[in-house]
Amino acid sequence: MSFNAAVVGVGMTKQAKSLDHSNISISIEALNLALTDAGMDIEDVDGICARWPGPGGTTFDPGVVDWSGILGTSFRWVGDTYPQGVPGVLDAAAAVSTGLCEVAVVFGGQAGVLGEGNLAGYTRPDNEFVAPWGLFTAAHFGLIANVYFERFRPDRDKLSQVAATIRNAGAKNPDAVMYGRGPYSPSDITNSPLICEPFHLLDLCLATEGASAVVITSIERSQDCPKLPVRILGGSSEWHRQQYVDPPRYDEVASLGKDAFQRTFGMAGLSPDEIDVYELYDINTWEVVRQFETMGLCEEGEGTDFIHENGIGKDQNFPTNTDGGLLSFSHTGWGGPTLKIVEAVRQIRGTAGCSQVAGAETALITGAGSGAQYFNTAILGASR
Amino acid sequence: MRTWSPSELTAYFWTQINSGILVRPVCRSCGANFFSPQVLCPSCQSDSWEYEESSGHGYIYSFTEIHRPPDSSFPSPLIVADIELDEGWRMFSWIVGCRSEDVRIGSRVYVTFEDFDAGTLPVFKIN
Ligand SMILES: [Zn+2]
Repeated sequence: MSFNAAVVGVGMTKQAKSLDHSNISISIEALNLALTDAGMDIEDVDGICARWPGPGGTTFDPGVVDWSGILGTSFRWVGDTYPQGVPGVLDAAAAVSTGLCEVAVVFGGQAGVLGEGNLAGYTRPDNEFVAPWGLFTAAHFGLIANVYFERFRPDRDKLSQVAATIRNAGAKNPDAVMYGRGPYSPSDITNSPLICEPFHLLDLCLATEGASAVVITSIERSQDCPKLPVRILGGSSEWHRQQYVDPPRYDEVASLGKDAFQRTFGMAGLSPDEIDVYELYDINTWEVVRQFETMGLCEEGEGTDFIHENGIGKDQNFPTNTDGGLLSFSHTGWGGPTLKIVEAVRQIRGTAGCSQVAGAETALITGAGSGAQYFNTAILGASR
Repeated sequence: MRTWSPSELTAYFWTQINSGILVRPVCRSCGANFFSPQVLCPSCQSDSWEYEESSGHGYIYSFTEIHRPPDSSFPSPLIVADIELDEGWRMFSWIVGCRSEDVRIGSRVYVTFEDFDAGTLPVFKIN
């Protein structure tokens, strides 16, 4: 099977540690940028990925955004299972492919919400079997990674090189929140403060503000849009277990993503080493290594060696997180997964500026990971 | 530290913790132990389960030493562990009374109880 769908517009606001906006105003700013990019306006949109308050909605809390009201339009299709990033784009692509709607938008972000504290609120699950122990999301990943470290004893310098390479890409990217911060050597990563074993501060992703948006339509209609259409060549998700309640275990989530990768590469007719740009979920450096293994590029336990031998810089064998990723570019909470779609589209269009991988025609995007107990991936490619 | 609000499903667990007893759900239909408490047994979907006292003995499946707890009300560093209890169920807890150098994946542990401002918590010590 294949999607009859292409990304025809992307939008991204300024990304920063904090922004003087609201969640909704920053998200609509990104949406308008994406519509302009697509040569469209809101009247062209008849499908929306969003937390849906109604009509016919499931969420009625005061303050939930009345999307049809605030955008002044009605819709033929609404997707609210997971209206961000890869799952949002795949749902929208399926809706467009089947004719449930003609033009769908996926957008989101956050602003005016990150306080001065150590941790963003969404990284602190507050249920009674997690919160009393002081657990936060990075610690859930740490519990999984420590079993991997015990079994495979990866070289710490090689792991730190993963963070250094991704962060150094962000240091050179004027749009990255951490622009100018770097370059880092592997020892800079290893010598940064230990947060929760095995992760040091510079192994871990940002929590920042900003928004991003994507416009999707059919391949036929994409021909009328001003920018190079970028096709959705394949994608798949794995929803394993409720996250951040019970302890996730390495033996249960080590291979999370294997099925999704196989289905996605199968749909796209590509193998893992045929991708030009890899925009991987870099919530921490080890999760990047795990994905190289799960994708089938190397065996379990060999990821750090494989990455060290091949390289993930933009001029190396496996260009990864070219914009600086969640480690250095930005991670905007609930809207964060969409940032990687925008970077993938820019790479394929050839408009990624200093991050550009020469001649990029295909990009792999991933979201979520072992500690979160769900995973998703998609492949985008130039319309040929 | 954070306070927490038990639900109807979990209130008995915390009441017992306050009395220094560790309990977990045991299914009357299939005998499965599970945690956290659920409406239905995750092994057989039966709603017939009851809390039973645990031996409180088990081992460390994994642990991580947290050097930056979420806020200053937590002790630091904290050794957070995924404990596999001998009856075949798991829970998050802390390893207390030792240094992290003395903690290993697979170490045998037993439950003890400590009072904090937020309430009494079951924590574990190395055998
Ligand atoms: Zn049962």
